[in-house]
Amino acid sequence: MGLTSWSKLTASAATESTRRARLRISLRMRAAARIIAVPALIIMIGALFVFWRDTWPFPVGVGATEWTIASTTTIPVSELFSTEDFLAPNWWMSVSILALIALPAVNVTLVLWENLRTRRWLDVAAALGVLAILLFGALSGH
Amino acid sequence: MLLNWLLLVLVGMTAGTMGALLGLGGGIFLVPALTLIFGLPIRVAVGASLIGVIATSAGVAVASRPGSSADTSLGIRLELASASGALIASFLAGKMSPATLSLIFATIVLATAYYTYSKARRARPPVTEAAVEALFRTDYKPTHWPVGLAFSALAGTFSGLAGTGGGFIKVPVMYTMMDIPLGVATATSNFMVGITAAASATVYYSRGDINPLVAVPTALGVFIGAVMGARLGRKLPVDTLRKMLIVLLIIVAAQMAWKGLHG
Repeated sequence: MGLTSWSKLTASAATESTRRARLRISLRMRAAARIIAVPALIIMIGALFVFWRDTWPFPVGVGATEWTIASTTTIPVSELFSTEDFLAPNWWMSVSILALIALPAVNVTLVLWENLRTRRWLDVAAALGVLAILLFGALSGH
Repeated sequence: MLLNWLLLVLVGMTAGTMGALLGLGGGIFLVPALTLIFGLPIRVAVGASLIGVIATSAGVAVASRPGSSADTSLGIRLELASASGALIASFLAGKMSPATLSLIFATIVLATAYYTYSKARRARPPVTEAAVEALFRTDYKPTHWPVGLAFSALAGTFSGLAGTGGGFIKVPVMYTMMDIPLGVATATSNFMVGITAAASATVYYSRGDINPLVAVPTALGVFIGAVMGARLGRKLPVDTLRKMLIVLLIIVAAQMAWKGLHG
């Protein structure tokens, strides 16, 4: 076999291997999106329903519009598990929002895992850097 | 209140569908809709929009075909710059006046209008199996890394300031400057926008700028819209939608600029 044919064969094998690696990680990310995002959205619907049922037919909030609802901010991460009001819709909404925010971090972790497995150290470092940035942002308010 | 929620879901669905159809995050539609239609403060609108962008990214990931795979190696390296830009800009956004944020948003909307216009001008090649294969080929080598990293940081900055994913910067930069095939660039951008938006969203959440009663119905609508958009992509007249969008974006930019200048 000539040198050109050999290099073409090697390049073709590398391309196929890249394609397979991408497919594998894309399937894992799709599964993560289904496992995390879909339940989070179901919880969101439930929490909205409970909030609506508890406040109906009374108007919520004061001021010009219904959107001036001062009491409906998200619960800080540090207080999420120290609060006694686990059944409040606000708690469930905060948890589901945090689950959605965490989904990209899960994707980065999947990329990190794949790169650790294939020993692509530059990508491992990049993934760790991105995770550190996300963690810094999450802890910034505390 | 129920009517407002339903309206928010509807606005989110429209933003998610348009975002998935046109390759933009939903943020570019959500922030003006939430501020101009619902009269919400811009920071609350940006917070809700960021959650919407994550929902769009998740929705597209759920609905997309497994063959349309992102280059995660390229994405994660560019994301270092993008997420850093998003984090810094999110802190800065907390210190800026709503008027300044509105003006920045108007500029970003105009840039998006130009991007959409240049995309609409390109003739669409016929969809053949070979053409689809070429969109996702893997035998390329990314070039011009410094330019790619700089523009990724800029996209991240826009995300932190205006609640967008920055896909309208990432896709053209990867495609035209870094020599990445268009299909791979789009899939990689979708992988990246979720992470960029999450970096910004963590700061907005910590600051209390995410109102659950706004973010939750919007995210629901966006997710449903993004799944619908990803599935309807081939059946709708995307070129016509794109032309309508350019007009809409210019009107929105003018309104946001007016709001920024006159309160």
